[in-house]
Amino acid sequence: MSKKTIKYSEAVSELNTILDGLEAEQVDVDEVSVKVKRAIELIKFCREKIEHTELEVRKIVKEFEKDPSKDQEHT
Amino acid sequence: MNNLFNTDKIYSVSELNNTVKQLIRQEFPSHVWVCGEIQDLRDRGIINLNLVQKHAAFDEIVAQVKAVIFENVKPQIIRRIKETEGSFELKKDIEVKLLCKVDLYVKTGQFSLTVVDIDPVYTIGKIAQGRQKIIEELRTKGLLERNKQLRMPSLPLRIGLITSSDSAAYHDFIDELKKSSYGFKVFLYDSYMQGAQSEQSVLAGLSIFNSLTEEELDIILIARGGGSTADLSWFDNKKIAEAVALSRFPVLSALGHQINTTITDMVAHTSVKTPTKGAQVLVEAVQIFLQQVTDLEKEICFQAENFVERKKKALENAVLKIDSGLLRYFRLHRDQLRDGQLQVNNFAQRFLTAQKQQLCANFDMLKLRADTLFKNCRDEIQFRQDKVRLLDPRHILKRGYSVTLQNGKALKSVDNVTENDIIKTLLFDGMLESRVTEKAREHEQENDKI
Repeated sequence: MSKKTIKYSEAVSELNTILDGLEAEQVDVDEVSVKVKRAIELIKFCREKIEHTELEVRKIVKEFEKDPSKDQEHT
Repeated sequence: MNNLFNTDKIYSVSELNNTVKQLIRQEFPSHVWVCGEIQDLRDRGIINLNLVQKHAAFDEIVAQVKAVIFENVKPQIIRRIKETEGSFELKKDIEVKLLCKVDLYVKTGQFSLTVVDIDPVYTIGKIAQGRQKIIEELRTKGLLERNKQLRMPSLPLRIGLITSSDSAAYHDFIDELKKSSYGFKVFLYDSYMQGAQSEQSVLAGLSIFNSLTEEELDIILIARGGGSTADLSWFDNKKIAEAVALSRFPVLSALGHQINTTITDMVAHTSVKTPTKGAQVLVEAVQIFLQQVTDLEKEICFQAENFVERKKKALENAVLKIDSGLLRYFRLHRDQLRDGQLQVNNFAQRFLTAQKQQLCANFDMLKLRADTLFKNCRDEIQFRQDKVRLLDPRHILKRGYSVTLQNGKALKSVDNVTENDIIKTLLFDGMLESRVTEKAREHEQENDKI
């Protein structure tokens, strides 16, 4: 699965489904490693997504704060 | 009866007249004073007159006697009268006190008086009494002030002149008027101003002028020039005085006297001494009128100029007021605008400041929210990661649990194997291959499941 085609919320949702399945012991042992692998992948994706988004947000905020048209007096 | 015929003496007419004459001379040996009123006076060198006595109450002759003033005594008598203060003229109706010789004219048998002297003081007293009587009568009738109450015309240009056309009075008056060069119009009534016909003549003049309208005539002038003081007595006339008093036009009297005032003067509207003076009065009146007209003209011009000036001033003031009003108006509105602008600015400033603060707060909140969001996400992922780690089978195997596989699949029940079946056991660090030797069903063994 490509990172670019999945949304964060879908990733979280899929992760939750996997976790729910694992917790309810509905997952066949044979599939466990596959599921876990997928879960790790999703976690990694989510982390990256979070880090990336946060960086982006910080960058936007920083740029906005630097904007000369913005009055700094009241900030 | 017989006695009547027993007279010795038989008179001829002349004897008789002479005898009576003697008797009169015996009775009146010297001159006597006789008082009476003159009537029927004729002056032909010798003056003949009748001396009469009238009834005390009625105008009726009760006694009469002829009197003669001969030429030899006439100048003396006239001189005596003239020398007396007051003076008068021997004429009809006046009362005189005469010193006479009583005599009889034999030829005619006429009894008469020969005048030798006169007591003028007596006559003057009588004249004064008569004057006073007329004045009192006029006063009683309210005629003394009647003509004076008329308004003097403001422009006396049309004059009814009563005088003698060949008199100095007429010429003096006309000459004086001509000097003024004003447009006087004089109607002349050529009148006797002395003598017995004066009364009738002056009355006729007054009557004719009073028949004119006020558009035709302004004033009547009775003028008489010079002459003796005695002539003035013609204007102490009751009828003339009454006519003057009742005249519809003001009467100006100019009778040429210096000291005495006649009754005509007393009742006239205005009395002056001479005709010249009379003309001057009229000229002055016209001058005053013209002056008034000139003054009025000036006053009108002045008032008009003043009026225009005032209106101009008022207009200028109004313009100034409008100017200052406009200035004030615009200043006020500019001020209001500025105030409004300031208020708007202040308001905008406050509003923007508030908005800015709000924005900043929002922005801060956004940052906080973002931080929180990211933290939550991270925590959530961490939580799930922990969960995944816990659920990872390798983790369980590490703790001593193992998985039994048969034919590559997890073996979950003893029922699925028989003795001698080969099974594989998956451990944490490797795999065992075993053969089933025995199988037993145990209830407790359910706990072995992963």
